[in-house]
Amino acid sequence: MLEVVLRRLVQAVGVVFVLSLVSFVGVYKIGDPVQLLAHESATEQEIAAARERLGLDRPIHEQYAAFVGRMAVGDFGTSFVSSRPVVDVIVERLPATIELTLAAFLISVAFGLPLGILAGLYPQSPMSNAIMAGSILGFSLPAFWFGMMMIMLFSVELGWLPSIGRGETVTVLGAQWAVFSRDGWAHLLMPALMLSLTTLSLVIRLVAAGMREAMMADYVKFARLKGLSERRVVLLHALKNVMIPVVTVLGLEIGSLLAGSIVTETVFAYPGIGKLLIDSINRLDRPVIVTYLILIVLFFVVINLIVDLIYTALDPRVRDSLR
Amino acid sequence: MTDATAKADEPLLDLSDVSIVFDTADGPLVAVDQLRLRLARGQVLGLVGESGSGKSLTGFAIMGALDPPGRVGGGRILFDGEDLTTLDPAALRRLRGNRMAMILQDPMLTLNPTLTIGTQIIEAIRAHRPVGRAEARRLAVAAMRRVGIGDAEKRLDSYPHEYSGGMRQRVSIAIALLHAPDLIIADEPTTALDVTVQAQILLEVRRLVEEMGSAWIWISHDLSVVAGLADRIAVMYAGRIVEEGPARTVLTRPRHPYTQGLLRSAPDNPPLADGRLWQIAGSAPAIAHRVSGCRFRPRCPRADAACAEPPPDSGTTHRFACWHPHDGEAVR
Repeated sequence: MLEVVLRRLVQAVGVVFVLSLVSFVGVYKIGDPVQLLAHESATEQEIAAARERLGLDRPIHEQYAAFVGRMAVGDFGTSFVSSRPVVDVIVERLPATIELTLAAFLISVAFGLPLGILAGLYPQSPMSNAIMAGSILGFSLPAFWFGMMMIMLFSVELGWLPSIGRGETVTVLGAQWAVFSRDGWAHLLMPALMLSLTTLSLVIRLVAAGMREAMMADYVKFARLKGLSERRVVLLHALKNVMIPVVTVLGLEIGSLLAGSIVTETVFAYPGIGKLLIDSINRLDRPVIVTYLILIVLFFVVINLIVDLIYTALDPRVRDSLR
Repeated sequence: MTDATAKADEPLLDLSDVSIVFDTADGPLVAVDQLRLRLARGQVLGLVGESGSGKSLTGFAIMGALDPPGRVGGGRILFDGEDLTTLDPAALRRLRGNRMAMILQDPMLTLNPTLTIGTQIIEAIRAHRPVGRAEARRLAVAAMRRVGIGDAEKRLDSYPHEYSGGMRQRVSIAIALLHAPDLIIADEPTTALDVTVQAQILLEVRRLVEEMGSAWIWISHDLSVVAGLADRIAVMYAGRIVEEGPARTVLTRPRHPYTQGLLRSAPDNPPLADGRLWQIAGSAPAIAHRVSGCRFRPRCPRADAACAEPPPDSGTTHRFACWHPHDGEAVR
């Protein structure tokens, strides 16, 4: 097990290196941030001074070397735009995205599992057809359109829910959390629904297909022949097998939820790191962009590790192959 | 006559005119029909037939565990005097695994790969007996010992993939025997095993049959397996029982041409002049291609115009459904 963890970490370092290089060079090629940042009336000298202050006057490889050197000691640099440490900027926005992604994830699982189980158990019923048709819509509709329709209906027409921002936050453990206030929940609901749309649909379809297959398996027949309650047959014998592939996909889905949060946060002007990334790209705020990407890589490594651990708990055959 | 003796005379299992139907988009498909079968307490019945003849379906129908869209289309299944077709699901569940049990064909697929052997035995114990975990565990160990699994205490916490095929089938048998059921339906439990393991398991089963006094329905496509176990043999063809009688009689003096054909196709027969084994012409029909009258007639060497009508059921203790039966001469 330790070996697996170590191997993953080494891989992560490699990925971080490549990714930071690509994004660093990429942003460098797109344009000159100083031109965007400088005031319209700035003189040539002022611009040159700013460029020198930000270290942008040096050749790209020197800039990158300096960046790596600082990163090695945990310094991710200073935002070009806000002149604040990048880490502070990101950490400040992180709780919003964590809340949003987690909420969307929980919605996907909490509704996806039961709906998928129902659709898989009664494939012929009208209810099952409705669930499956709904999940196709969830896949096919662009999530941002769904988000905008929600805004039109619930914010503009009915005036039930706010369409912008995070609402009131409460400080817990030094960070700002919206889930501890009623207003925060109201602000979170629509973005979380929009973000969960594709993942929810995916979970429904995966669970339904897995369930249909598992219910025909001999071990389910045998469980029934033993005289077990239908509840135990479905929720233990069938579901535990169904969950093995579902857990893998759910792990990967956390990644696409993070990616999706970029769009969702933009639609709802939700101040998370997704919105931060878009704003930073618009302003070529390279330190923020690169740090964001590195953070995402590390996040993925951790998620994959957790998925492996859960997988091991679910499937005894995997457990043995690791011994 | 007292109630007790009346009960002892009455068969344990009595199927009359049972049919098994699959509801499809094109209407119902009849997989098994006109099924008549009686089984006395403690008796072993061999149910023999080719794949698709409906023998496994018959087993699942008795257990009340047909997978939809399959269902019992008609007839009565009397188990200990009670019609199983009229029982509600909860009452059936109380019988299943308790007073009647079933063992499936492929031990590699029967046990749940994600649960320990112990869990799968203990849940079967606790489904029908209100015992605590510790007591259930003790019973599980005893059950495993009974089917010849050594080191049972330790092996309880293993998963199915750590067991060999033969061991897994022993576990399924142990589970079936847990509550000393009146009826055990064994659906080709040795077919998927190596020949040597098969022999061991058969030996074990023969011992258990004598020990437990349960009635067995042993489903098989292999007459030689059934020959050594069964008191009576029923032969199924294309969803119907074509011959049924005492094992010795059916095996040595078959009346139905299909049974005769099966016996002649066994590989221990002397080969034909060209060195090949004798075989029944053609293959078993799919449900949709079954003919009217005698369903075996397209493949039967004795068939004539009369066979287009449904054949009568002749005989009492040795029944057969044929217009032109063999006269009961010994075939071997």
